[in-house]
Amino acid sequence: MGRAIVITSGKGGVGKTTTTANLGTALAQLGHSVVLVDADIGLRNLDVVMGLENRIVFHVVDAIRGKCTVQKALIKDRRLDNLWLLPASQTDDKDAVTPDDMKSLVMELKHSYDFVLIDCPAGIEQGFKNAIAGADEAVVVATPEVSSIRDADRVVGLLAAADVPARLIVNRISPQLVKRGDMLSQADVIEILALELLGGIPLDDQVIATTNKGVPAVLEGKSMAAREFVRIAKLLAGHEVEAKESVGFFTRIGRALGLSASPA
Amino acid sequence: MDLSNAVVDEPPAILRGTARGLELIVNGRAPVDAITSAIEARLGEAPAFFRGNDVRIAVDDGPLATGCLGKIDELAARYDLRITEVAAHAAPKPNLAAGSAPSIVEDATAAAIPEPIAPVSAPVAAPPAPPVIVQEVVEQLVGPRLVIGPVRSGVILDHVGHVIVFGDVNPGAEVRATGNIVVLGRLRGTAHAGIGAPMGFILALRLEPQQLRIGRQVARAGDSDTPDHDAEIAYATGEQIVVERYQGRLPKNLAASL
Repeated sequence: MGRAIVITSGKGGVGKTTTTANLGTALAQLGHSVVLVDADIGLRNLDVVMGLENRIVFHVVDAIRGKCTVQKALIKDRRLDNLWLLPASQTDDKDAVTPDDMKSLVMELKHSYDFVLIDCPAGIEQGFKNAIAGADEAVVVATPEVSSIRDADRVVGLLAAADVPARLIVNRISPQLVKRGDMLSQADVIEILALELLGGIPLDDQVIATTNKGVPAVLEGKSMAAREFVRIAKLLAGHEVEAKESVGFFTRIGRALGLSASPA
Repeated sequence: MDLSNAVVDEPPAILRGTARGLELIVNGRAPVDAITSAIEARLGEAPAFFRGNDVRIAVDDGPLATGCLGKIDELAARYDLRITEVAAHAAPKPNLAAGSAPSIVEDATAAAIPEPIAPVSAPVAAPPAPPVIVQEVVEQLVGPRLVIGPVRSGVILDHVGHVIVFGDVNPGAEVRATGNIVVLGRLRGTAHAGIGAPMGFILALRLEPQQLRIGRQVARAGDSDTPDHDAEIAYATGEQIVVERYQGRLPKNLAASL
């Protein structure tokens, strides 16, 4: 039986989809079978980031409505044999799916895959409720900006109310800006959100470049961001993770502050 | 109080319209379920008529049994009523009435002689001699609510009584209480203490709120961002909200007024 993890944030544009693509790819590289579910119905883009756009025949709404089997709607990644994508529909809206639909779909996927990563749409409305319905745990992505943190805080409250334990990824940290005092640091973010930190992704031009090519940064391998995604994937999968660099340092600070997924 | 033996000759609760809005008179000696069912029956007669109104609660022969005010609060929420004031006519406790004179609500007499607008379903009990509204009695009614934080953005905590938060109150969250608010953590959201009461205080280990409200007064955070690392207390003095460092005890003028 696999685990279903929803990647969410509240605010849009903070890197949910990029995080989903990279964590999924990294988990697959570690040898786990992974299926990525794009729950952003009507605004699908996980397929674009994965570079699988032109292979879509059926999508998640088709599978839920019984127009095809779930297996038929899955698209196998062209680089990794154990990575699959269940794309969103382009034409339906969020109301096309109910939380119960998602729950049974995710349950079905968990029987055959180690990890089901659900890419949540922005906002806290129907799409969010659908996306978290089948999830066992959540990864909250926040950037070091007050607006992102405010929304993440709201989302963590909603997740706690739905009994979904959450952990945090701080995305797009610019070490230079932090050093100059012009950006909230990772420590500032976890201080406010009081969540267990999985990791912090540095702001990295290469992520943007590879994302636009439809190749998750993890597959290119060299960048700081890619290494951090791999480290987080290991952490998620329960592999041994070497505590290293500034990231490990901040993680230890987070633990020392007694931060864990606590209910609101 | 032994409710089973209480001789109840007055109706358990009367809801009536006055010139100043709705008034709910609760007989403190009546059993809790008699009170709630009486209120519910009355509200049920014309839910649309009462909806959205402010209501003042006056407790006759109080104090109320524990939990009763919470039940009334639930009912009020269900029928979309806002409780603006809870007052006890402390006739049976002369010691309180005598000792706590400073906390008399200024319009107490106005509350005592209401003008019935809506038909009154039951004979109104003659108001006990000079009614005195005593803060202490209100505070005895419901225990403080202990909240394990963090209280996150979007959450609104509402409580009849005092609130103690163990942890932070984050920006975008709001804590509202008819009593006082103590935050054993950072208060970064909005807090409203002393709702419907003449006074109240807000105490936090780190007071960095978006807004503070005490009774009918509002203060917003200053624009300077000099973080103060000491516990601070905010309370209302007549015209304004005062914030000062908490030095292990309540400020004298506040303590005197409580």
